Amino acid sequence: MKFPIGLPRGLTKRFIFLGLWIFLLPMTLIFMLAVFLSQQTLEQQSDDQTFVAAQTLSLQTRQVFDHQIDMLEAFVFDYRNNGNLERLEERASSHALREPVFSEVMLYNADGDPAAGPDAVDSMAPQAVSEVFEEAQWRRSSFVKGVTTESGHVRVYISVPVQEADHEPINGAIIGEINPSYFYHLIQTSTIGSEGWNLLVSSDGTVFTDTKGNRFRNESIREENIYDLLSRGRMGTFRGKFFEEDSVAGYAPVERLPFYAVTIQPESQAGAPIATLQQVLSSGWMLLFLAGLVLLGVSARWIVTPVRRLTDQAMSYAEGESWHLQVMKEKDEIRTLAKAMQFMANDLQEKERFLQRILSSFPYGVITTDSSGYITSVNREGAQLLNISARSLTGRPVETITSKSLSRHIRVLCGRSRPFRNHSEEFNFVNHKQQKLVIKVSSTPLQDEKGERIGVLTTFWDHTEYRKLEQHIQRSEHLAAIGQMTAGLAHEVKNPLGTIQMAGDLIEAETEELRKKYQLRGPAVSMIQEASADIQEETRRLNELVKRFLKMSKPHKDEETTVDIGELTEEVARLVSHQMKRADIDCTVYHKDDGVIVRGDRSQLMQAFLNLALNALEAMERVDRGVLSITVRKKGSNAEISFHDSGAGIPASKLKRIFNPFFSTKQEGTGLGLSITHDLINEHKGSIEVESEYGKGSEFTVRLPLDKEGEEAQ
Amino acid sequence: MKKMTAGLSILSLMALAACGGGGDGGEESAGDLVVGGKNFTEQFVLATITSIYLQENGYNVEEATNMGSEVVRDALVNEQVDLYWEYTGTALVNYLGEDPVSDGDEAFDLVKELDYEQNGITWLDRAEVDNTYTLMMRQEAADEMGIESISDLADYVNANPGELSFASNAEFASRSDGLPGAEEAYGFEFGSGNVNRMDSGLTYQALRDGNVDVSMGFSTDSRIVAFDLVNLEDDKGFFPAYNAAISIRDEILEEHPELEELLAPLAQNLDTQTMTELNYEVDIEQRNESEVAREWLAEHGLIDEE
Repeated sequence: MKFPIGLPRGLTKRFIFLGLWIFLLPMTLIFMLAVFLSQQTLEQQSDDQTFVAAQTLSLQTRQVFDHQIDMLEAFVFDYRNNGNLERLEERASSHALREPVFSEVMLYNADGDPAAGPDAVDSMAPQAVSEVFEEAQWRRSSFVKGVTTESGHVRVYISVPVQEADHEPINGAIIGEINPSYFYHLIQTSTIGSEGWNLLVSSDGTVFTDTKGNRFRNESIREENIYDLLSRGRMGTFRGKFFEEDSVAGYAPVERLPFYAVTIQPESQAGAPIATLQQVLSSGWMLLFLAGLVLLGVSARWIVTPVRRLTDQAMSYAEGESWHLQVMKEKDEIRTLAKAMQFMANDLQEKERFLQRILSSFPYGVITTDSSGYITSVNREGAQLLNISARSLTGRPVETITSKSLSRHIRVLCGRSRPFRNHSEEFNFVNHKQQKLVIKVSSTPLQDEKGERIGVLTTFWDHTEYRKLEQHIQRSEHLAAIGQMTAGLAHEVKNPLGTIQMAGDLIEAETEELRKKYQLRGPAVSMIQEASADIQEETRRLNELVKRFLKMSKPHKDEETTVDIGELTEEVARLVSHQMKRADIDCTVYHKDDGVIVRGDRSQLMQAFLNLALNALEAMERVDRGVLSITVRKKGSNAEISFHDSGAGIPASKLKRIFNPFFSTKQEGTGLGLSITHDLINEHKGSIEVESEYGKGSEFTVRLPLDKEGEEAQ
Repeated sequence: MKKMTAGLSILSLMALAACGGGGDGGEESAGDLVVGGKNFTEQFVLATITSIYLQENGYNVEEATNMGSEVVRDALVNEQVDLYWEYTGTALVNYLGEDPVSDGDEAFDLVKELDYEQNGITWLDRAEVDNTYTLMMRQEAADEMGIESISDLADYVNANPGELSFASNAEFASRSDGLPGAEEAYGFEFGSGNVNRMDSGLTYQALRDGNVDVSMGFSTDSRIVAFDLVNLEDDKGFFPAYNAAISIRDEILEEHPELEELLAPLAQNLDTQTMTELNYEVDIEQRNESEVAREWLAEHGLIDEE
């Protein structure tokens, strides 16, 4: 079977279509889902990671501030106990040296001036510090404040009140300015990956420090989308542009402090696992898709091909080819189907063959035509009779038939609209061997199961033999009638003939007596003597003839015995040999077969053969060196004895009447010899035929059925 | 069939490639507000809830928390703070010089009226959060001694003077509506030697650990449940109502009249139980105040869930 090239069709198309729907499509959907979900998960993971980092950053920051506030508050508690303001001032300012968190720490008195006096080196921005101090006055508790100066610099301060007791009006405050580079280093530790960076943003949106080398320090992020989220006190993850870079940002406010902690990952870094996963899954999908297509192709071949093979087989079977498909080896439905189909095909073929056999064994020719006169089938006998092959007739118009009469007969019936039944006809036909045949035709309408006429069924057969037989019977009946009539005539003739004979004898005897008594002489006497002798002679002959005739008219077989034809013909030849020699005729018996034995009356058969031999002798009386060949042979179930003479022959015009009684070509012939022979042979269930060519000779052929028992006995 | 295959591939690839994100645009600030707050958990939570809520509604909020009760009140009066959560009882007794009132509505109506008249401070509708003072004992000890109410405690203390120790923060130990008032109303006295002053947050732990036998606390404090403590019944109705409500300066309200309506849902959705739970989250579960606040706001549909 060919594997389909180009676009698949039919079963394969359906199979592949189905395969796509139930395999490739769900697979694709699953892949899409997997990609979507894993993307979501990874994104969620990277979001979470970034957010957690921001929270950590926030916590880290808060802890640093809480710790520093605790330390400074501890100084204040000490002061509350010992009231030593100088020591507090000293501890505060030396604290900045110990703690890198601060760039400077100073104690301010109740008026907001440095406690160390106006000479004290105050590197902190006075404007910002006074703002912080003012707040310390009304808050009366520790706090952290970010101040963005007019120059746009953000400064962050810790303020711890100096008071007698909690929430009492303050006597002063320890204010420390935070050193951004401390946080710069601190938040370095919690960046994500190689590309990630962190930043702390003051609550007004100014960057306090960032781990990108403080590149963005003191820059405002108010224009960034993320600030909108920060300003609402939100925490979470932001995806979008941050400082013109696609980023994933985790953000969280620093609890109780005026800061936002922000952790940034460039999108390229955060999305790297997603991109990798997408790539892997995509190529996996492509691979599986291709594999799926190949698998579909293979399984289409595997499943569809047997079915296609079966279909093709069924198609070619329908077109008339034989069933040649091997039953498949697989134990599956297709095998069962193939088996069943083969069985059905064989059964159908068997039945068809059986019908074909019936039709072809039919001893008559059968032709079927459709209603428009096209030949649909011809059986073997029909084809033989018409000497034309069945194949060259099938599908052709009925005029293709060599017999015009037959085709005309069928054509007329095909065109006939009225119903008809068993229409018979008889006509002559000269076959290819130039034999004249009588053909009998009988046609009936061909009907389908609904009784509608779908064509004509014509049966025809060789009617020649039947016709011959019919003629023969007519002739025999005719002969028998003449025979009876002549037998009666002979009887009537016989008695007067006896009287004439006796009268003749009397005339002769009386004349002789008179002659002797009166010594009569003279020509008259001798004339009387001569005349009476003639009367006697002719009456005797006539009497003999009548006797023979009567004998012939009752040709009953007396006793049936087995007769060896070879022996019999030899005997006949011997009987006539003397006469043959006299007439200078060479008579020879040829035994082509031995043991040619028939059943019959030996003497009658002898007479029949003798008649034939004598008939030949007479035919050759005027011929020099005549030849009579008697040939004995077996032909089928018959013994065939032919008498061939080289005599004068019989004119064709007389050939037909030769076996009729009283018909003779010879002047002296009674015309009964061959008639009697014919009757004798008929009596023995045989036949006699004659062929003759005028002037050259004749051949009589006698056929007698062979004695089967005798033959078997041999 | 080829077309279809190609179509499928394209579809899948498109799906594979699909991914995206988005962000919000900025808005103009609705106004600057300073939200004040006292120095204990509940106040931090309330302040955070309020400031996040306001921030989400477009206000630029500065928080000033960790202040003493009277300090934040002064800051409000002195216009350093614009609004904060105050308790009716505190205002009534400490700022307005009135006698404590036990009934919630009565106390609130009185405070609202007086504070507006005297100080130009408006009280928005109160929440069902009654964070009044409470006296607590360990459940086990209370059962043993047969103490269920403060009257029982008074009897026990009078029967066994000097036996029970008491933990209090500085404020409660000196306030007229605090320990001295209660001792007077119920007729007993721990004795100055038996009163241990400590940070307000530590009294629960001190009681749990057995360092003291009785402790003051706030009725919304989650540690009462978490540490298996029991509130002694205020059978004489001494402790005044301490319903939480936002007190806001009238000028601010005039400037932002929408605030009254905007802030109303906060009080409507808070009650003692809720407050206790929120406190529990921060105190016991050690969670961030802003996290807890956001969660609660989102839960009640007051802000969009992120």
